[in-house]
Amino acid sequence: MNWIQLTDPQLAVLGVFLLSILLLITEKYHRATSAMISAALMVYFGAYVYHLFDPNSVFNFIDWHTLLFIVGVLILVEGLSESGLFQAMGIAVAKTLAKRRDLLFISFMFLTLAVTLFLANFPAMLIMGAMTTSLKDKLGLNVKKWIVYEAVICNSGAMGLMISSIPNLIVALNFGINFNEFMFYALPLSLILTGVTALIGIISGDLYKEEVSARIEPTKPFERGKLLRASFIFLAFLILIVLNLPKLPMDLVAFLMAAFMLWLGGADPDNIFSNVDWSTVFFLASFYVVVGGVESAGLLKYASIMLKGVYAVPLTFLTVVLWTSGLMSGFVDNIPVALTFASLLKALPSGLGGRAFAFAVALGSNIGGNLTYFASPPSLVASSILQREEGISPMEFTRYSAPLTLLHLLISEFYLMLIFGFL
Amino acid sequence: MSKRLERFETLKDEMEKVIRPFVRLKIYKPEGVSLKDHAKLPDDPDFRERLEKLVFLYIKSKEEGSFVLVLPVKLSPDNVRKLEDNKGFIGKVNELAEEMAGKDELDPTD
Repeated sequence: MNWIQLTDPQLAVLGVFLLSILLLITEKYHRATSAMISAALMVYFGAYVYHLFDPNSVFNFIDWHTLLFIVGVLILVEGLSESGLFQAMGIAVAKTLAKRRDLLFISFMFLTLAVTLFLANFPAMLIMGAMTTSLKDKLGLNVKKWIVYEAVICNSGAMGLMISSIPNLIVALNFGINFNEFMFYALPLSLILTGVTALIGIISGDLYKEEVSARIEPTKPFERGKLLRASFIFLAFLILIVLNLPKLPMDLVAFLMAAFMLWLGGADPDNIFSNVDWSTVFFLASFYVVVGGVESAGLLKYASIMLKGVYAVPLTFLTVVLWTSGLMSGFVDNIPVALTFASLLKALPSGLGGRAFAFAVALGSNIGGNLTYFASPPSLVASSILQREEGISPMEFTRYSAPLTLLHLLISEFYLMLIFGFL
Repeated sequence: MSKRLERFETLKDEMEKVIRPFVRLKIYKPEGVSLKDHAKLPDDPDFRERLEKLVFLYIKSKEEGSFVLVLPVKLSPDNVRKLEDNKGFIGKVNELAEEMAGKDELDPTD
């Protein structure tokens, strides 16, 4: 592509897009603030200065179905998180396997995956981090290793279900992938990556600091009624979207079940609402506007022309999509990465084995969150926990997590090649 | 980020209460000590260890109807620990305390 061919409006829009990425990389402002500033600039230049689109059409840039589905899921996840279900499971596992040390580590890694699949990666890291640090003295855990490995699984495991992360939802809803299809392709890989990570953790040793004979004796039981109610509502939500029973749009199902969670879940709705990550909602809506502006300026078509040579060889294109989305997610939030790649893939000619590339975006943007300590909320919170509890620098977190990220990307590439018939 | 870590702390507290129950106390700065020394207490492992010991002795002695004596004995930390573990010393201090204070005053029924 000849850059000189870009018109002034296109250059302005490209400038706003690059500025938004720069703001996200530098983390000078909160990610939602950066996205909102970029969206405002996009509307100013795109609608008022260069008249690329009508100001009233800005709201059409936002995929309201995805956004509402995400709000519903965030409320449901908070309700389940407040119930203490996973904390109770963690205590039960620690109590049963306190003496079988390698098995305890493996169980915690798979428990991290389970929490991530149903609660998304950030609440999962908070819960597993709290559980691990609480058990540290009783079980003599080397917290550094446990927390790093849990963070890695929180990011990589988040690819498993459609509801496990926002990039998954963006990819699934953009490419018409339903819950079952997503689970069919992605869940086996998250199980494989969790198993491999746990195995590496055991082989590399150093999981425990000392031999401790302490027994885990829970002194205060969790509220069983609250736990069961919230779990039942969440399970009902999963069943409804897996079986598509009510023949309703998924965002409506999520909203209805969120209402049930608030009404019958047992947790204080004020607590749920105050813990929901509203900044993600504003961030996503604003970034939809930024990408909408890029699309209106015809820049995605340019990009697809530019990529012509690459997507002519599907295997090369698959590698490029997976590794680029993965490595980019190591430095920029994975939501804009997923959104940009999804829009770019949609601008490509059809019949290019779109599913494989769509999954490459989902896998890459989740796994990439491990590459640096600031790449994703779980990595950031894990490195902060380690700094606070153990005085370990965030860079040391990256030293452990980055090689695992590259290994996960490599395994994912082979998996995609195998499952989509590239081999 | 701080809000996220606050949430982590809340979850950790909830979890710890199940595994290893705790209470939270406000320890106000006594007159005559520096603000700096007072502020350092939460990060002082010796202070926590001694406070936990006091909690144990206080609760146990209260169950028995007696009270823990807090004395400003000025010794090196190692010597203090040696004496605390020495049953003969504790026995002698108890005898001396009863003698000096008078048996009636130690009677919990008073």
